[in-house]
Amino acid sequence: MHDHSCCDSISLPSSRRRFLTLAGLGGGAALLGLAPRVAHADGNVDSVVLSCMDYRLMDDVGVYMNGRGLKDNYDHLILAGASLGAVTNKYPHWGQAFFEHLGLAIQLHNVHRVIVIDHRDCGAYRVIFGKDTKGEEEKKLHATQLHKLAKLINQKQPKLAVETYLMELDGKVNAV
Amino acid sequence: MAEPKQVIVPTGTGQADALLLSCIDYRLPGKIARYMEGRGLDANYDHVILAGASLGVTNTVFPHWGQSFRDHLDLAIKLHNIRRVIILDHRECGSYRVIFGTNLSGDEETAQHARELHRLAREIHDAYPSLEVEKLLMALDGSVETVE
Repeated sequence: MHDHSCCDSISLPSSRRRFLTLAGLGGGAALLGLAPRVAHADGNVDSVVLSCMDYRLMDDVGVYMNGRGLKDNYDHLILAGASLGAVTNKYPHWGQAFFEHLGLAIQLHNVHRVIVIDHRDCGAYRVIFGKDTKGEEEKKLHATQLHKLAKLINQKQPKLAVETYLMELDGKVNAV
Repeated sequence: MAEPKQVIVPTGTGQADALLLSCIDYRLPGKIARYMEGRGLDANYDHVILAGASLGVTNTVFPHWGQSFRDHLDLAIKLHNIRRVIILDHRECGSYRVIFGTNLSGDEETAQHARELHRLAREIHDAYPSLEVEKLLMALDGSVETVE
């Protein structure tokens, strides 16, 4: 059982602590798919993946993760805008939801890395920034949000590795 | 880059059939993708994920999650003009076990999911009467049943 720094870092209210305590008491039954009859019986899942809700890229994210040998080995979170969804001030509930899910994934699955996948031509970026960027300007805008989120994760969960990527609409993924 | 106070909502950014809500569970992404592909909806649905799927929205333990879903539903309508919401719960869901403190199976488990699925479907219907809402339950083998 790992320490509870993840829980402390997201300042869970008492009701949420109960939620996690119950998970700990569950024994063979636990939260978020930690079932005793599956491959990850020890509760170890490699990563949390954060990607965007965009309908054009659902299969591409799965193909990318499978290609990395991580099939059935990641908890998948989705927020519009991916990194931007977790850091935007316009939708503050999203960031809270992200870090609550991340805390649970650490607590229950011992994830050791976060893979953040933004994508080009993102509607959430256009909505939140009110601007349609392309090319290098678009890449820089994503890099700013990706690095902002990576820094936040590093502050709250310093043991986690964080990878930041930008996906093209053809599914190609480039590190940012 | 600072975020502007006035948000411009672009139009004409594409159209998707549905918004899918499913669970975070690591055992499911491949099965969910195959299910949606089998329905002919590949690359035609926005996807939002919350632990517990319907329960992620309806629970009172994590209130930020419900608002996150409502925000995403609103965006999916504005950006992609979706016409339906597909709520996909799954069996042996840890979130259900923990929040309810029970470990149900079979018909009892189905009934427990049905309550949350119906609760969320009603909320969506009240807010967006023109949206179709599907209430589904996936088994861990990937088979899917409709919950009435």
